[in-house]
Amino acid sequence: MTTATLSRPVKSALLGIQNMSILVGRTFAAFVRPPLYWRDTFVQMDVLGVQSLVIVTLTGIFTGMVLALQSAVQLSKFGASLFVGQLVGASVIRELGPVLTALMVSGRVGSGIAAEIGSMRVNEQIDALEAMGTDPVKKLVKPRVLAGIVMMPILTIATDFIAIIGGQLISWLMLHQSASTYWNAVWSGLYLSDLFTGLAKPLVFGFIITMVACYRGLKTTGGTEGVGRATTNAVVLSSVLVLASDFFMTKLLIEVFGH
Amino acid sequence: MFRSRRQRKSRGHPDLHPDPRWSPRKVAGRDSAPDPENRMIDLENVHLAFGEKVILDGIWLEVDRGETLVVMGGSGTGKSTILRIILGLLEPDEGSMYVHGVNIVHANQEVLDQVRSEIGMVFQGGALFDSLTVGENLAFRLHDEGNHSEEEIERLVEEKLSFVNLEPGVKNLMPAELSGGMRKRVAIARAVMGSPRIVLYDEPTTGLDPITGETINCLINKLRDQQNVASIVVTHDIGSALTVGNRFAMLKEGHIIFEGDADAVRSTDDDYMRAFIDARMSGL
Repeated sequence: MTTATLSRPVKSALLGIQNMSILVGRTFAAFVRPPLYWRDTFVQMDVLGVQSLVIVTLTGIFTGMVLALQSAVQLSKFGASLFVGQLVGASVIRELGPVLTALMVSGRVGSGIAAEIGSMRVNEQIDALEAMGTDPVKKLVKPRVLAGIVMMPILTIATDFIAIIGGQLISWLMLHQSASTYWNAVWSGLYLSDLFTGLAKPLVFGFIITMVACYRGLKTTGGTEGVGRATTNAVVLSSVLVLASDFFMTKLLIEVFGH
Repeated sequence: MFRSRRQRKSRGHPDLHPDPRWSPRKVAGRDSAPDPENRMIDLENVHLAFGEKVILDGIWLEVDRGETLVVMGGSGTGKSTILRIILGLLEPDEGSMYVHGVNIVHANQEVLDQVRSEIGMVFQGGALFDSLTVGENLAFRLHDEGNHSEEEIERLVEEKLSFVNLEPGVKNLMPAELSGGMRKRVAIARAVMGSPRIVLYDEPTTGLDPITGETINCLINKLRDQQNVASIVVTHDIGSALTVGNRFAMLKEGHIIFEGDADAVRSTDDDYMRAFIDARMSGL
């Protein structure tokens, strides 16, 4: 492989990072500049948040149940089944809740945003917006990113709660634990910093998912095929970035809080 | 409102033409002497390339108030690109692009927004916002400006729908419920919502049956005659072109190879132009 063929994807990747950084900068600038498009923001909160409740509920309940099931089997061998609640609570609130919610939202909402904005791009609707003097970043990107930042923590709280309930169901059915025993175990495994961790991560994930989806949508070329490509890229890229940023945030938060 | 180029030139504005001896060039197909006050669009030596591919290679075009310039050419010759440059959606690599005396090349967002408020654009597919009703599409610009009452917007929406011969009830329909001709008419109505002084049309009759196409041609003429707008129509439909145009330009390989009025088009002896007209006229 020649240097020229190697440098092409590198240049393309660097150009992508540059364009993405510019869009992020323009989005932050748009947050403090009118018009605010509150109506669009509330619509996006509904689409991203309220309409995702079913999918995160299902994700939460089955995750909690599986987690409790696996830990019940293993911990029972050592007579430590009382710790099922502690394990479920800590795992869900620190890691599984934020990450699984983000991955589900990325699949449902990220793909939707990329497809919607991508279709607008190939149908010249974005050009029409600009031709009418409307900034697409303010009109399309800002409301979606704002909705992502606000709604992701709320969805994560819902996932966490439902997952812990799922765990409780299994501990009651399999281990015949009372609700108070289970919930006491859940509380005992949590630190105050877990609350911060559990809310900081989804905030960043919400930003990543919506930003990547908007970027891929705005950069769509090549008609309907291009929209499909943009949608797939948005989901793949945002999922990878969610997992990567989760690692770095976890590392950082452990350094800060010490556990 | 913008100051004219002459007014701006006297103040030494940096956007002005760099040559102090500048005056509008005499245009083929126009009898009257050039008048800078009436000059609405002025492309001067515009060059644009995407990578290695040269799209526009030294384009000079002018459009005056009340005039319709038709830009013709084969697919992929850069006709729509010219419209995008006029709107400031694309920046040329070289050259100047004046809209009523204001050079929009390297202009800041504020200047671009001002210039765009003077321009209405009819996109090829209509580019109506799918998630909004026809009424909301028409009202979009006015809502965004934020200085119109709901009653005024409602009145203007119905007025513009009536201008394009559509019933007021159409405002409640979604774009998906419209036929191709209705979409184009709504697109024209949306383009003229802010009473622009320049209207750009990208393939306005493409994909329409001849009768609907003729309706669109009549609307383009009506807009020019009643509101005295300067128009650029990009098309390869020679029948439509001859119906709406005052002047014509043919684009080929990044150059304007022909410029003139309808008589010059009909009597041209340029081989490419002749072949283009004959092929289109015979429906090939």
